[in-house]
Amino acid sequence: MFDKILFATSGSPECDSAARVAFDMARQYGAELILFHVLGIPGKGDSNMVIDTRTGEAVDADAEYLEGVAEELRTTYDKQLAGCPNASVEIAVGVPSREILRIARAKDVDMIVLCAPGQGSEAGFYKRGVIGSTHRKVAKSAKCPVLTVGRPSASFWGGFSNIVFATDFSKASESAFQFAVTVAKAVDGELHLFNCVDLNRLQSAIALTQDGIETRLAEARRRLHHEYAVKLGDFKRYTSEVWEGTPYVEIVKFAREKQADLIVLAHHSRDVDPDEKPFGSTLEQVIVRASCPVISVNRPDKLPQAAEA
Amino acid sequence: MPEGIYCNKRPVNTEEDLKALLSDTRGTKYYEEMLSLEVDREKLWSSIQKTCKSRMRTWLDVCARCGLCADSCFLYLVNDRVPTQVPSYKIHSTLGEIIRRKGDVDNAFMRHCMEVAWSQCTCCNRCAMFCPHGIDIGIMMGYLRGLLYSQGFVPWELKIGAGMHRVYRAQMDVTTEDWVETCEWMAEEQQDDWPGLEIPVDKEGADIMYTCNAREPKHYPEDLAEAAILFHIAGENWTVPSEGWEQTSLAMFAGDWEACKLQVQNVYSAIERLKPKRVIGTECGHAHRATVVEGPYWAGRPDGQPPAPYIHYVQWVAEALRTGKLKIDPTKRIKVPVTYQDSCNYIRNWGLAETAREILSYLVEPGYLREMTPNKEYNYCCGGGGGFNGIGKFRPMRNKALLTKRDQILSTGAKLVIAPCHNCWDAIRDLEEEYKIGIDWSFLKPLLLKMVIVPDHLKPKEEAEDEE
Repeated sequence: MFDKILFATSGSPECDSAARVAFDMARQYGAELILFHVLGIPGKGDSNMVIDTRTGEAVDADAEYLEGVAEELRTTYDKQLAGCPNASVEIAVGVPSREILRIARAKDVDMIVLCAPGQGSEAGFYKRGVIGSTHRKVAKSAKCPVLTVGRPSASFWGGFSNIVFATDFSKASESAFQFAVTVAKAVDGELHLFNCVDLNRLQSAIALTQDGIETRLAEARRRLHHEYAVKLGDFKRYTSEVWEGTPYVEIVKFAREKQADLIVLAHHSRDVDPDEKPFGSTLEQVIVRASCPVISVNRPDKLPQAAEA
Repeated sequence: MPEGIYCNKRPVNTEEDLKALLSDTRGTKYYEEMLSLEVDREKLWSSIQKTCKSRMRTWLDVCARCGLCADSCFLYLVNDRVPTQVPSYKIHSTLGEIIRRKGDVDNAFMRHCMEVAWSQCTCCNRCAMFCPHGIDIGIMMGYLRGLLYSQGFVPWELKIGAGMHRVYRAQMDVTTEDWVETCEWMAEEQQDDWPGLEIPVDKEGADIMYTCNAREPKHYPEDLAEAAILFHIAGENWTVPSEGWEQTSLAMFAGDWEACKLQVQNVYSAIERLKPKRVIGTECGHAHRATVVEGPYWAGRPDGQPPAPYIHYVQWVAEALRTGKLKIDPTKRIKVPVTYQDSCNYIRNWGLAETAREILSYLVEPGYLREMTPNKEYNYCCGGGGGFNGIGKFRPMRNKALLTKRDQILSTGAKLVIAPCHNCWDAIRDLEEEYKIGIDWSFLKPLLLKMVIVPDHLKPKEEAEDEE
């Protein structure tokens, strides 16, 4: 189902859960795995210096240092690499999100695996501009699905079988849906279609009456059926539900109730300006809270073909 | 050992030599070899006789050492007013001395000159504003850099920078393929949000040809995407050249005159090839100086002008706002104390202070602009100009130089510094890193994109329908 997986890692323990998922997937699907690490440059300045992940100090990114970092990565993941013959290590210097997108495009990968945005463990100064937004930028712009592992518990799965597809009915969600269906069919699992009526977006008093909310719930149920369920054809192992509230909270609760081992959603297009969303987008909040891996899919370009599965 | 393997008088002309020089981390061996680099006195004197012409000679001659330039120099002020930092002293004790001795100077003297030329002057030209004779020491320092470069006495990073221009016609290793591919990539990446957005390469006869800084395709291609989006919103008919897109010139900082010419000619050939009505450069100060102000003379153009009208990005932005091509949503104007970093190269030396203020009148909510003191043409250098930002050997001096800008910003109380110049942007970022004063800094493009009103027909279909 996936031929080439890009695992972007800082090599630090906070990426261990993501590493576990990335290597498991590569093994399970016989995929090629690219272990990728970006040495962030301090900024737009004329400088060959990068920040060493371990010491937080500025060092020269010369050939020797780059080889040292690659060796360090091989050592860190040596057990996993031993069980994964088709793996390579790549190092780049630049802005992490940009370099991840660049290599994903250059190598035409089918899936990017990321660790969740770290909570303050990065070199402090760079967090706000460069590293803190890595995930957001990659998830928004990548052409292929992006799988993120936020919590350690999310890595303890043995394969997909219970998939939640959460939609906001955006165009990007169509690609996410196709992806979810393909995976559900391929693993012969269950698919749970879900939408949350976002109460935060309902400003008027009329819309917020219980009748107003229920009207919207009914409408969303209809849309779930017409836009997704009818396209499932012979595939009968699905459920379909609409709840109301704050989307990320409801998605996480729903996934827990369904004992999901995978959540698929689009990078919600309405969450445009990160500056005005202090708690991050729906996608980011789901990632941080969910106890299973979360895959975001925005584009139809790199969807796995059911036939190949 | 007259010539070293790394440090020598030969310019870097091949990729192989460039990589070899880069492999000498921080120029350790390079600077070691420089200790015994021989000065070719004859050549030095003969090139002075050929290139040091009446203006320079007159300046050196009429300078009365009155010292009026002293207080104009931020490096003099920030370095506790040591007399050796007085601009007239700096030039007379270096270039003046070389000429007086008819080029008969030794290695130690040349190394001293290198230190003065690259760590005690950013070529900001502020002293020229105060000299009663109108002497411009920044210009003379630039000339001194040329002499030093030709003898191999140049900071390691700048030898590499000039070599990049020679090998790639760009300040970083970005090839034509890389560049064109980046343009495609950025256009593709924006398709969902900006249907129909294009980055047209090599379109002939466009209204605008856009040129940029290699740093953008290399590390920050979203800057190119932002430029494309703004042209798209403004409905401009524009293009980028596949060759000749790099506007900057580290060769100018290095004093590599030959590479300066090669680089700017590359841009001019693109203009001649594509015949745009005009050319617009990115938010970079020295790029403007290199291609618009000095470039025509390097290229030997008799009229002293580039082949087509060539404007700085702030000129285009001001025009687009004035004519309504870009409309700002008044509710989104900046409502935090904000200041503007006047760049030496396009404000002091090209007179765009009021153009920048015009832009601010659209972007900043009245009452929130806090001007620095001094400002506009009299503003101090960011602290990292003229190549100072990029030289590892002089980093401690550069960091001290940043104190001027830090204190200027602090006394405005601004939380945001608008800095439409790569060098200034870098310096302000570095000063925040070094001294942590809690400020933010930005180019114009991201600010404009947050505030601009997007015409309905340019919005993605779905979003236009969804709006409640």
